[in-house]
Amino acid sequence: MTRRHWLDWILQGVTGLYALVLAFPLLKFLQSGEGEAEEKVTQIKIEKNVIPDPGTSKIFKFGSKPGIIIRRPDGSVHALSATCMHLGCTVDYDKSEDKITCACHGGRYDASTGANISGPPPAPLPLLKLEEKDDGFYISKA
Amino acid sequence: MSVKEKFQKFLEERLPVQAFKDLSSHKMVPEHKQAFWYYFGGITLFFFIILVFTGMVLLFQYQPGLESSHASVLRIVTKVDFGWLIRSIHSWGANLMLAAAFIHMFSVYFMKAYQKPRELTWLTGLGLLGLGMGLGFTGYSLVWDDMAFFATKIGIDMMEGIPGGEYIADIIRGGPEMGGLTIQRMFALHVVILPWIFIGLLGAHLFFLQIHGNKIPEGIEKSGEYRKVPFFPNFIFSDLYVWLICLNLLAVLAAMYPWHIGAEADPLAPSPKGIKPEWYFMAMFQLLKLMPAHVAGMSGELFGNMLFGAAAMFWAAVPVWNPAGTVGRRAKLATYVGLLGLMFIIGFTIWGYTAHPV
Repeated sequence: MTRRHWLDWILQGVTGLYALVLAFPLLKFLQSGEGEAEEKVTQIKIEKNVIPDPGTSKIFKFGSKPGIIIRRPDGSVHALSATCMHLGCTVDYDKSEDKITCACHGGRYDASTGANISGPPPAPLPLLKLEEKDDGFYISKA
Repeated sequence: MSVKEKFQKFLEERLPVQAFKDLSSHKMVPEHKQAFWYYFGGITLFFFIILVFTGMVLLFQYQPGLESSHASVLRIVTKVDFGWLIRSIHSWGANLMLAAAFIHMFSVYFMKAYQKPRELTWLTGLGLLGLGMGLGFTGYSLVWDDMAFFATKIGIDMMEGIPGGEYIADIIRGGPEMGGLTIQRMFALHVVILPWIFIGLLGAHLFFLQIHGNKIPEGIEKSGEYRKVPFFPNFIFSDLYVWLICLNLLAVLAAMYPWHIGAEADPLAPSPKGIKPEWYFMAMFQLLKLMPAHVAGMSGELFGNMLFGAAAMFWAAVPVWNPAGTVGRRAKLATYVGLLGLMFIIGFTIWGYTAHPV
């Protein structure tokens, strides 16, 4: 290798390092986002009158993501994540079928266990931990 | 055949690569004892590129709006990784760009590079300077801190002093009072409308430069004390070298002296003490402050604005009243006018700062 090659190589290396030094703060800047505080939410409370009758449901905000609370026809109450496991749409409770359904691509889940029954969802909906107290439902991550 | 050669062949078969190569190898730039001043156009361009780039990046974090403008800038400088640095580079870059543009304008003026055939280069350059100041004004307001609020208010109110100006002021403000729409409109001007006009005018400016080349000052041309060097690679490499120095200067300034942010604007609070415009409006601000309430049957503000407008038009028209081939006292007159203009701007700016301690 000639001296000229070495010099070229060093010059390219220095230029490359300079570019990295410029790129690092830039990428960190673009990466910075909001919403970290919301991710830290651990428990929320929902009033009982939100789902007064069998066959009713309510979508609520759990941190930055939606959750769903359902009172099934048999009276049992369940809370699950409401983000479809397929492509992230928000699911809903279908009273006539007593199933959780996703309008986007027709995914269906069991309303108690969150198990994926049919359609494209690859995994069950995560269950949320539900505690029923006198003053309301306390929901936290399972 | 290596990948690089294949790519070159691909381009050559589709684009007039050879013609461009010939053009760049034939383009020559004069080199002489005053050639140093040629760099300032390039420096202005370099800072403009930095501003476009950092501006686009800031758009990923800045949120215009009455509630969000100040809060998002505060978030950028306190919470976002390296946000303080990028915002500081943008603000410092803007000020350095305007400083370089002023130096460029005066150097072009004293070299008489506005004379035939370069009148259009001169006029597009002045237009770019005006737009640059407009970008500075609109950008300054977007922070929506106490200083920015009143500086913007004063700037817009000043337009009302010009006949028909109240319509323009109302349009820019989005009503009789400053508010959320003012920010929205300043934002639209700052990131879309003015930059588009700027880039169009810049294209024309560079195109004219490409056609006429750099002007050699008359005295130097007559004495023959100059030589011509190829634009590529000689001049472009010294240009890049100067740009690298500018980038490092900018980085040091931005890192050592992060740009200030004040308290959020409160329209009901009294104007902050020591309020002043940005330095590039200071001379004009100081002149208007000197105007009495009434001059020659009109308001002092209108008179001051007219005075300034007339001076600017006289300045822009220098290729008309000092055309190429002018010799003797008339040729010297232009230099004296230039010195007077320079002294007025520097003197009134210093006066403005001393009369208004920061």
